[in-house]
Amino acid sequence: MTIDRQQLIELLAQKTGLEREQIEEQLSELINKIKKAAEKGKTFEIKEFGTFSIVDDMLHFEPAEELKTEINHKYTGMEPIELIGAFGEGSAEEKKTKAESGKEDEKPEEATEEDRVWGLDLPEEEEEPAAEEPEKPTPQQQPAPGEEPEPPSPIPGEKDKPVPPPDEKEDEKEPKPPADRLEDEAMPAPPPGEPAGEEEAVGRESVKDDKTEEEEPKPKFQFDSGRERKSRPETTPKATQRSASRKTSPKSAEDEKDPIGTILTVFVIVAALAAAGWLVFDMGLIPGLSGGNGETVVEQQPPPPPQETQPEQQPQNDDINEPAPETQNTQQPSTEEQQPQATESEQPSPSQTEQQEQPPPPVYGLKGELNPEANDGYTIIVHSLRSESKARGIRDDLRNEGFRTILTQAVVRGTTYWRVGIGQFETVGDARDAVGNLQEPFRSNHFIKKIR
Amino acid sequence: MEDRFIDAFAETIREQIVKKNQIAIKGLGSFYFKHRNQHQKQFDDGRVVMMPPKDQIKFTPANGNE
Repeated sequence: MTIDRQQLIELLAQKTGLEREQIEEQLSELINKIKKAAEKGKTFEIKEFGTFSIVDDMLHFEPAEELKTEINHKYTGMEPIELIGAFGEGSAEEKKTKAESGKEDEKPEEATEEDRVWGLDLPEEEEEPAAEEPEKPTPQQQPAPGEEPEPPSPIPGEKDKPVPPPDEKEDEKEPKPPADRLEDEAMPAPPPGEPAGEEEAVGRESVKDDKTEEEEPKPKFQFDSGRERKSRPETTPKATQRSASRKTSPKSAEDEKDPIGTILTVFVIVAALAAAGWLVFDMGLIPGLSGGNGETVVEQQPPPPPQETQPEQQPQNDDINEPAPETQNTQQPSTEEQQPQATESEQPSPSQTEQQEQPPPPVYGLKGELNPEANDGYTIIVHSLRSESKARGIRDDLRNEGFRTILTQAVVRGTTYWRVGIGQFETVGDARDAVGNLQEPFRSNHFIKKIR
Repeated sequence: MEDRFIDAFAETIREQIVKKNQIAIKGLGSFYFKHRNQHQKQFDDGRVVMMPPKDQIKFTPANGNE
């Protein structure tokens, strides 16, 4: 719809409330002003509307920001979106990247076996570094820091100063004998042997940094042994065992290339060494412990005199006194008898209290009679029903099965639920433990709640 | 020329443009409404940008000395 000058004047008259003639006058004046300004090369600006100017000998109108946004109100806030790689050179870039990646892909494929050895560790950690440096050192260096966060040299340096020299010695000494054995193997089986020889040479040049595949486990092994210095002497025999296992057949060598296998073996050996170290420690400590037992015996020995001093109890404990000497001679076998005796002998009166404690069932528990004193604990809610009669029926069934049952009423969002709980537990943890022993429907479908 | 008139002039044109009406003023030119669809714009450096749709006001001057 087009609005011409007459309609515009009418609209303006409505808007301003002025007479039509006035409007016409004003409009003519406005147009003249715009034209004059334009002829002089000036711009004519109407605030919050726009500017009129001459561009290329033509009158040009540039809307003001306010006008622009108001007219474009539907789409305000929409920003230009850059399309990445959809058209044009974006695809070219993709091709480039693909080509590069293709090149990168080839390299790791070339570095086959060494990568496969540590392949399972590498890809998850860092693929790119491996692609950048497909040489042997990187894949082998990486697993080492992966398993041992700190490089070998700092570890002993931090722990003890005297330690590093022995480690280095071991590094120098130990790799050689097995390597020699490897060469021995190499004679019968050339294919595996030759690379081993080369790697051995590399290993001699720089043992720590360029660990070769074959030698790798051993230095690591030694670092581990460096951690557990007690058991270090055992390392050499084990190493010989490993080399011996290699001797057995070429298949074993292949097995060793299995990364999981190597890692597992290393871990198993480390664990075994640790266990051995602990055992050694324990064995060494046993005399000390036995000494401790002796002390306890000393504690238990005093009982006889108090028994003598307290004639009242003797008649009661006559039956117990007869087995008592046997228990003193053989301390551990009859601990149950010892305990009452010790308690009785140390504290004559508590024996009665203990007798009193034993008869009443434990305050908390899963089965047995409901103990009102335990109602400050937790229970396992196994049923939550809207029908009270059903809940009572289930409660009775559970009670017949021997459970402590608790029937509680709960209002959830206006609905009353009858909850059947079993057991009384002091803590949530106890309840959770008990849940583990429950039958299946309850084990997976329950919740633990405070009784009160 | 009163400010009141100028304001009313600007406001009227704005309202009519929003209604997608064309305003033709003899001796000056015509204002009209134009919608631009969203479109892809490719820069010289290869970047491709999707420009959002836009509603615009356009002005064409009256021809000659009229």
